[in-house]
Amino acid sequence: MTEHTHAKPRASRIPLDYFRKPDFWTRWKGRLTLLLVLGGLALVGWGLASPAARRAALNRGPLAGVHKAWANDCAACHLEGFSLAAEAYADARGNPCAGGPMDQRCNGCHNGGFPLPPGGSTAWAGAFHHANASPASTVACAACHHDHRGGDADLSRVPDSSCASCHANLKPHAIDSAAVVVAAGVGAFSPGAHPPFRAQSENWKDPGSVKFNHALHLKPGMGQNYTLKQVSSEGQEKYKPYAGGEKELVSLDCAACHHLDSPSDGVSPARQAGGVFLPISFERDCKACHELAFTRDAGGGKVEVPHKIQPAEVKSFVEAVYAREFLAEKGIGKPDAQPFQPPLPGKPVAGGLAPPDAAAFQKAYGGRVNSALNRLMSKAGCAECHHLEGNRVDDHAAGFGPLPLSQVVMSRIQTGFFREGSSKAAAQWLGDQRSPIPLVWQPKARFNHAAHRAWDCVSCHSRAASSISSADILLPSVETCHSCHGPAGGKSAAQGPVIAGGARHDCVECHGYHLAGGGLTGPGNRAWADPRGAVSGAPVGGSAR
Amino acid sequence: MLITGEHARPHVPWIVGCLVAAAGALGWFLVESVGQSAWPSGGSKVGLALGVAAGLICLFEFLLWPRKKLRTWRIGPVQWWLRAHIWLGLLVVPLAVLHSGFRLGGPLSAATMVVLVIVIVSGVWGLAMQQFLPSRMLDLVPGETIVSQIPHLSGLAARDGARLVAAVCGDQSTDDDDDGELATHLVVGAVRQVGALQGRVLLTSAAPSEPVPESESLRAFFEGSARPYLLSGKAGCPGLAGERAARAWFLEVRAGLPPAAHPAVAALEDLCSQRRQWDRQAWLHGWLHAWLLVHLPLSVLLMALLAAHVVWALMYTTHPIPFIH
Repeated sequence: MTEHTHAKPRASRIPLDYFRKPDFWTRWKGRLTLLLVLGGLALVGWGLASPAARRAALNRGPLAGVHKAWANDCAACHLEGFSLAAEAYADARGNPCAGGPMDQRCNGCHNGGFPLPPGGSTAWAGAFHHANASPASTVACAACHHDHRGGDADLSRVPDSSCASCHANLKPHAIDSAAVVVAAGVGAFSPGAHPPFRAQSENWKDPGSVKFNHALHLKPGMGQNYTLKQVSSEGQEKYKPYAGGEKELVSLDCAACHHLDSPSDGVSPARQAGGVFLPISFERDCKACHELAFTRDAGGGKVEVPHKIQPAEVKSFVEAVYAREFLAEKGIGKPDAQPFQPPLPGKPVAGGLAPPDAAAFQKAYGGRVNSALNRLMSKAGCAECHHLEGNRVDDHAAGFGPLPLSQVVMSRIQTGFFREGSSKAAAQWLGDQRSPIPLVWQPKARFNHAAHRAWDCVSCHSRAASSISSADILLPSVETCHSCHGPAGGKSAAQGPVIAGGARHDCVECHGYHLAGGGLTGPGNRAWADPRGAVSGAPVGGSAR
Repeated sequence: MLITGEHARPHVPWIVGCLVAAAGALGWFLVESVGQSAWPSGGSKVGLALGVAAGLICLFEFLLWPRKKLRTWRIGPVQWWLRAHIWLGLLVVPLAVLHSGFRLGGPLSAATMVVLVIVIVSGVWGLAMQQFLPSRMLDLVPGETIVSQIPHLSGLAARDGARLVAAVCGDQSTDDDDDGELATHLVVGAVRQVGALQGRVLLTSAAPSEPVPESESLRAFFEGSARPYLLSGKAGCPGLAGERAARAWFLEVRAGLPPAAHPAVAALEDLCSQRRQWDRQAWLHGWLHAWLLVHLPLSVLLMALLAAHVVWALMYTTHPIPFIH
């Protein structure tokens, strides 16, 4: 057993250079590392060499459905290369943000978003948000509209940060900071972060000249025991749902007069999206109770003054009606040969009576004409709703000023005002006969009544049932909106209690961007036609704007 | 690197610092998110800043590899580098997640994020293994040796066993002089057990001076079972892989031999026991080091992906880059 005598050599079991020979772990670490290094380099090389590879590697997600047609054509929107960062955000005028080559590609299709110069050039042509917006603060399209977020992504639903980047501190982003009239520090629509609506903060009054008492009309029987029987025969069918029977009191609700701009019958084509209410129409909403009849024809039918004609024309119309009756009595003409038509503006008194007949007519019918005019111009007629004085009196019960109406009307007639028969003169007296009530009170915000149909009107317009003055603007407060639209569980700064919140409350829920300062009329904004035929958002209001 | 118990103290500043940094990043991110309908993207001011920070940390993390190769360089103690590697590596996770805005993005950025997560998880796994496996190994493997030399040592053990058997059974044919080989070998420690440590035991008293009569069964046992086990472990002889079964088997072998051969049987049992410990050591060593097969190669891949991500993000950005525009 010689080996046992060599203790020290026998203990020398490990090769002195064992560490120079890689073991299993070292070998495989090296092999895998080498493999992945080569793989990584191959990946980078592949990406640099092949546009298809870059597309595959870089495409951060499917395009929005509206852009699907260009899913395999990156160059339709993107510029490639390192120069992009500088190139994309500088236009020929040195604008560092908007209007660069990238934007022009967007603009190739989305002309609506940008005011284009004449000649059809797709070059960016100026402010498309607000004339006072600084060009340096006007960002490129993609700064707000992020694509590659899936086919269902809504590119117009831009994050609040896009808006807050300027509106959180607006003045530095305005060309003329002194001209900034909107709230200068709005970052979000949450209690305390969004200012009150201007109707609240500026205590707007309805500039309309029509007197209307909401509280009275919402009382059963209008507070005057008004029954269905008293409604005109033409309107009885319409108002049946508002009364149990002929002798029952009529109890109106909001929908009796306020109709959405989209027909609810499901048959007629929709003109609008149902977002706003149509203006009140006398013929549709008032006439059944507030008739303008002043006599009866030979057949016993009511003869009514057409709505919207001016006092001079009312007089002409009444005279014409009676003149025909006068002529019929004399055996000349037939009063019911043709429908009564309002006289044409600027034309002389209808009837065409010769001076001898005119004198006889005046003698026989002058009293009836004056009586009819007095009645029509009194609270039983026009003056029920319209102010005939130059000074508007808001209080419904206060009448029409210091003079009785009959004196006002007759003084106008006697001074020849009506005899001129000029609707222009009448307009001068009464002012612009187009209603000064804005069709949309908040033209720089969107609101869709149809989307809120699950709620009672008074849950937002809570003052409607108690409002007695037509000067009241019954718009809900911003706190009312916050009760649903705001961070879930947030608190109303004004009201204190915890509110529900949770409904969408991002800026674009209500506001558009591509407005060019024109509110609803801004280019690129959703097509929105005024049901009255005028361009919506045009200055239809007075102080309310 | 141990981070528990008494070893925890040097890590505290790193932990606190990284927590503060993560909280700061989260706070900034949340502030930038207030009132937004979507989380800030990687191209936003906060997203880009956090992305750059995460990228620089990744680069620093990667530098640990060359740092270990350059042990003689005076660029801070390796302990410091390791601590920074651990905690800054963990800090990368919140920074990268915030940078992503909780979105995976395109395939490249998604792959980068996935590889990052795997690298981090593998690192955490390795760190966890390091906390208890070494002490466990000390308990279970008192005869611990250099893992890469286990096959070599197993061969030597088999040869030692063969010499013992030859001495007992009277066959001198395996007695070879390996002084030339031994001269090239390193003494690995004292050949005895002290406390929990065990070294190779020299068998100066195990071999009888004369062959023992009627001991042929020992040769049969050695050639048929013990030698294959010593050379190949469990695959060579499963019956000796279990400690209890092996003990019973050796009792049985001992009962069939004259008492003079019993010391040699005990020596063979010790050799098999040591082989069993080496197998256990190799298994534990695998757990202790397997994570590196994932961590290191994927770290290299991560750097490549990160470089591509940075380059292409700048190439194809579609909106103004904060701090630049």
